[in-house]
Amino acid sequence: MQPLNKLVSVVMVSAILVLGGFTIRRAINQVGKSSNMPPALPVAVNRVRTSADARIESAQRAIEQSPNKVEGYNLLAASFMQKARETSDFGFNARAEAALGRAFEVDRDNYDTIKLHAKLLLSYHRFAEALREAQRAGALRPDDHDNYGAITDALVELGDYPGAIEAAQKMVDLRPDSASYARVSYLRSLHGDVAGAIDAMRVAVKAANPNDPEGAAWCRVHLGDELMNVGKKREAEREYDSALLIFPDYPLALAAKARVRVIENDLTKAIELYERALNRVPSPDIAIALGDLYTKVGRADDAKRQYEFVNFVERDGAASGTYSRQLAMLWADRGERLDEALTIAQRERTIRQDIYTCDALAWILFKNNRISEAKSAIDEALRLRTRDPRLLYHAGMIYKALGDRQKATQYLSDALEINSNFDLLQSDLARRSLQELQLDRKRSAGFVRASSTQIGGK
Amino acid sequence: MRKSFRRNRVLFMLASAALITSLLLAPTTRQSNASSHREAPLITADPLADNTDTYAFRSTEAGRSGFVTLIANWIPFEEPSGGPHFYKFDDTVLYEIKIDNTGDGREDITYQFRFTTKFVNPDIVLGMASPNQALAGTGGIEPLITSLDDPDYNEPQTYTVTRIDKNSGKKGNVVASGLVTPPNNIGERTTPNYETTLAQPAVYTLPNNGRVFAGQRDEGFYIDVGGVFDTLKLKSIGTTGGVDSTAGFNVNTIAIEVPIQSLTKSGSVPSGPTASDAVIGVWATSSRQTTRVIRPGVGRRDDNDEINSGPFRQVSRLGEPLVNEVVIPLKLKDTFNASEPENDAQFASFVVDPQLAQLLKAVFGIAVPPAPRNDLVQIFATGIPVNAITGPNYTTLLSDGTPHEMMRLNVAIPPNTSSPSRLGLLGGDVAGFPNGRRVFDDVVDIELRAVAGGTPFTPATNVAPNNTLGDGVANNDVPFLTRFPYLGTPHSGNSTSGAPHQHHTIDALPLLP
Repeated sequence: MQPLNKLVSVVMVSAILVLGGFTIRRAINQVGKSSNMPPALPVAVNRVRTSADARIESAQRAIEQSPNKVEGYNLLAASFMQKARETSDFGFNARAEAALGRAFEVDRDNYDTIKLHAKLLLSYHRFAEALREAQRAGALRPDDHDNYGAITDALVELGDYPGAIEAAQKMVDLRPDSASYARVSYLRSLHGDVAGAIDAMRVAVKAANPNDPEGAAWCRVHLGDELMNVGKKREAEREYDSALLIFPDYPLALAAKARVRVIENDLTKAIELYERALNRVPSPDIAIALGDLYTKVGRADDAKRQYEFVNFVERDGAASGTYSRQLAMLWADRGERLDEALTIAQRERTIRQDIYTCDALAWILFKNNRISEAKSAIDEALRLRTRDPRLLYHAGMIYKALGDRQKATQYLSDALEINSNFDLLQSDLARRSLQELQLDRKRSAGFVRASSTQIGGK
Repeated sequence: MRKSFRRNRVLFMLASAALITSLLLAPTTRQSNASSHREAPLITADPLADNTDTYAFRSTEAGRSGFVTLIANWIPFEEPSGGPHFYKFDDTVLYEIKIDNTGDGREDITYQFRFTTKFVNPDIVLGMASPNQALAGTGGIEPLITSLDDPDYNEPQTYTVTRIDKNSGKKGNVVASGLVTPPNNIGERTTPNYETTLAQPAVYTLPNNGRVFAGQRDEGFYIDVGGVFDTLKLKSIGTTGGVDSTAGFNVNTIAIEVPIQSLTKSGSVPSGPTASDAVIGVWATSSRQTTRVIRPGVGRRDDNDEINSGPFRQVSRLGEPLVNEVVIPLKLKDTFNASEPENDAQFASFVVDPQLAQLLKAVFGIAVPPAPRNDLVQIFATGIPVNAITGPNYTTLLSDGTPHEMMRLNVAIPPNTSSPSRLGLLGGDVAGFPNGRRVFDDVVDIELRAVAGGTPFTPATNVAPNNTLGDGVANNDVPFLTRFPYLGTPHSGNSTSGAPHQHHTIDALPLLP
């Protein structure tokens, strides 16, 4: 591809990825035509009304009355960010960004503007910048627990876990509430305290704001995910169902429930759930999952449509920050574009040290047959002793390739013990690899016994 | 040939299965949405622990003149149709009503309320109400919930009332437990004849002959939020013409009625309004437990262990109405909510020279009393001394000399059942605000006038329009009850009467995440 074309394409895809949701679908129809600039303010709010809409309107009224006051722009930005969550259309974040831009023009040092900007940067996966902005806000007002949430999130994503623990502890001590319990839950989960993670998320569910259905549903989905991590599928699915009752067609809950249905081999229901999720947010991973399910049940034409969409997003997805790690992992699992995948993973590793970045690098190095480097990376990924079957499975396969049978056996059996069905095929591969290892051990043990018998001469 | 085809097909299926599952779980269950990293909810408001109003008054119901009623509300702006879980108290919150009877800003008597939700049918995700009997073939659909122990009340919440007397030295005395909160007023099919069938049976008599109720009520606070928060662009300053922004919303109420003598410093009924034990200070709080992010000895614990067992942190506090909204600056609201009345000296400057007074002056072009506003300090922070007004023996003074923001009630002033005024003291009715607060007291109008200096305590400014200010709303949308718990029947979630519910008030509030 010519550099210029490539650049245009990169910009295009980045814009789409940032805009997300429905904007993607709109963009697909306009490939090569428009530049996807965020619309000017004020904007009309289209489609389904959500609880954010009335706030958007009230913010627009406030701006109309007092265009030189920062509060209206802050409220508008916050409301657009909420709208983005409620619709899964991350295009609304661009409008939030525009509103914050106006707010900064009025007052460069307004506390709420800076804090909201930090949260927006988190949505954009610009974690280092988000951290700097949240710390700037923290210097202005060190006792606002909400801002410690942004600091915690940024530090977690960057892989500074001791810093994240400190920030989350500060947050929950300043004000225990659903938001701080949710951070506590995630940090416990990352550090292998599964029971503590479930417990904290149960409290987060109870404490959730009933006037924020999306937020309440979010907490239930994450409680379900923690329960899935200990193989409690039935309880987990009940949380997903509950989330869907509170916030119908919530893509996060639809996809989560679909995962349970796939594991239970209920593919018809899984397809239906993914179709509904995709109807709300055309994200590439859901499209691939749905395409594969279509393929499996023999609906080749339907599958092709999904793959075409994925190809479009994938074509230069590597250049965009938002999905890059996931695309790299996708290529690794498929065993294709391994060079490109490695470039992405290595670049990502230079800016982030979080365990999932380390895991992705490890798995991609492994697929590239660079086993000893993969070992260092997977050791980093396991530094918190996270009880994640996927990480442990990767570790098992890497240690098996290294010839460390003892560790490989331990990791693979740990992965399967946490959830014997953590992944339809990968858990089968894990089981098979574990059997091979055990067979090897028996064989060599048998050999040793046989020879000692000989030596003993009995 | 056929075999090879089949094998290829199997391989292909396996490959797609690999693809499917790797994609489903590739980002791991921890990162289940490709569109974002793990983003916790943006809105951090905590309505379940948010105090909205506190009331304290001598009981006006016939035969109850020896009792004081204390009411505290939580969960602002409950949408009546807010299913499927509707609005319960939070099992993890410590709800408290506190009484200071010595004037040091520290609670001498505390009533604690802890809730526990049960699930009749834990396998159903329908929420508060579920046709469990119909599903089991043992009952019908309509009417669904006909009593507090109806099996179709799927998530009944019970509670325990504990009384702590600082002077008794005991940790606390469980006054009652296993009391049931009624379901929300869901609608005529699910909760028929709500008030008589479900709400009234949830009024329990306590061992000391007092009573208690916890459950949903109509939002009895009335205000034109838009007018007040729109830089005081009041639609009217009369008694009509404003918009009751809280109309149509419900709240969750805890109401407790106790004998007068159980609240006073002396432990007996005061001899008269100027007796040294006549005034009590009341406020309500909510607290949540903090916890260690990283627990010691992780990994070998059972799910059932007490994991979130750290100390309670107070996250909300409410004594006098509108103090946090109108007097305390935005950036100190969290600090105020976490603070105790005994440490209120840190907020004194906002009462001595309130921004609202300057705003009133600017907006209405009126003269306001100059700072320091000792009249406001008396109303909010020390109580009104004896002989500040001519006529009856009136005082709400309860102070050790430092400011403590509480709702002060003179329990020796008898209730006014013949001619109560919504304007309380300003309407010549000494049994109302700022002597405690009854459910119908128009605290918005009273406080606007008080801050503008339109009261007898500041004669120079006790002129129109200072003493006629108001938000144009003088009545609640739902009639109050003449009996305990006094706040009106909550709006039905399936109401067919009246205008469709508007959401303007939630949005009029400048709520930033």
